[in-house]
Amino acid sequence: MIGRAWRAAGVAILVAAPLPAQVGVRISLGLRYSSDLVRDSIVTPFDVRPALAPAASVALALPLEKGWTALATLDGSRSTLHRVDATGSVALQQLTTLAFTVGFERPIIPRLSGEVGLGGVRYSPSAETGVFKDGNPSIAGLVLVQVNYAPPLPGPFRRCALSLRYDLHQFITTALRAEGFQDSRAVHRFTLGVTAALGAAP
Amino acid sequence: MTRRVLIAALLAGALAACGEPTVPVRDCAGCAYTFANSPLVLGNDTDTAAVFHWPANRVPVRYWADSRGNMRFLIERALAIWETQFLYGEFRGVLVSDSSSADVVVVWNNVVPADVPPDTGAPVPACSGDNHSLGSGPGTDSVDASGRMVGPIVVGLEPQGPYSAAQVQACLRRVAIHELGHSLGLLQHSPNPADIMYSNVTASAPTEIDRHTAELLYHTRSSVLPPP
Repeated sequence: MIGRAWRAAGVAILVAAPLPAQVGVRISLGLRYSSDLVRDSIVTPFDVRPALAPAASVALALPLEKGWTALATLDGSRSTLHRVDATGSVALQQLTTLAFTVGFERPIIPRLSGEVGLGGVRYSPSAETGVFKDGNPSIAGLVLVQVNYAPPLPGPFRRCALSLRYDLHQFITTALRAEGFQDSRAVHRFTLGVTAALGAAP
Repeated sequence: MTRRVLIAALLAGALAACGEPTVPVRDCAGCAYTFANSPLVLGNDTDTAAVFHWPANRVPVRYWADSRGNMRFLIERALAIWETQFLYGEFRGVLVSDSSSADVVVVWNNVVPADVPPDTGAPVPACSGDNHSLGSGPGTDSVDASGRMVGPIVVGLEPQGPYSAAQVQACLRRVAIHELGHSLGLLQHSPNPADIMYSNVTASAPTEIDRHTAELLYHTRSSVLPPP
């Protein structure tokens, strides 16, 4: 059901996209830090959080009027989920996240632009165990803010930019609710990356 | 007007982002039973209560199951049931093919029962189990002076009494979970007849009290070290 929704969203974007000559593609690679997914205390306090993760994204960029650009971005990252306490860290399983956002970007000052966006994020654990033992959480709403800095680079690198992305979503699972957690936790993610623009978009 | 809406939205977002979910209350009375053996002879310290669980660096714990009958199935099933009791990956077990490399060895004590579908009627004591580990049976001398177990935990299962093969199999499913509970470190029996760790097992799976006890155990400092 959710897979079909994602596919339908993808098809809708492709259909809605204007001529290829107007649309640019941006590919980004980076490193992602995520805050705790769970904080708990059983005798002693501990956290559950993903390790630093490689992150990749692809975005379709459509130039609009007055310097604005519309963006549709698919973003993914994969890392190891850890339980961390005062004595150390224990690897639990692999965790993949996939996020889709739509947003708008505009220049702030020369070489610096800012983007805001809304979308959803979904977690895919490598095994339905632990906090995911009763199933994955559904797609959670996500907000993002991103700044891009385009340094003065020579020829082939002139359309590359450094990007810092911050996004926020809420996390809780059925197993955590069964354990007694009543509220979801805000998860903050920061991604530092390099973006390359292809095609016609700025 | 637009600016006020924007500020209100930002404030609402900031509150949502900074709110700290409340940690579940777990220290309720009767939510768990005692898991430590007390007192246990650990070297010369006779006052030390034995708390044992497998440390994170020994997980997954290696189990060897007797190759006869359906022991392998019984142990795989019991391990899967125990693993699902843990929310934070505290315990996992794997079957190994070499008993000399196992942390826990599970054998038939005498007769190997027939592998038939289990009886679905009321539970009867058609089997028994024992656990040669900390303070149980001959295992009271199984910990050296430094507090380390000297060898693998040995679990035995066997049919009992004048019961049908189907009743024996139903019993073995229950008792395998119970005995593996001891091998996890639940060294005591539960006082609650409904729990899987009650001495005369009639439960078919761990209860919420069993689960909570195991969870507490795996977050309590262990006083006994696993075998080398």
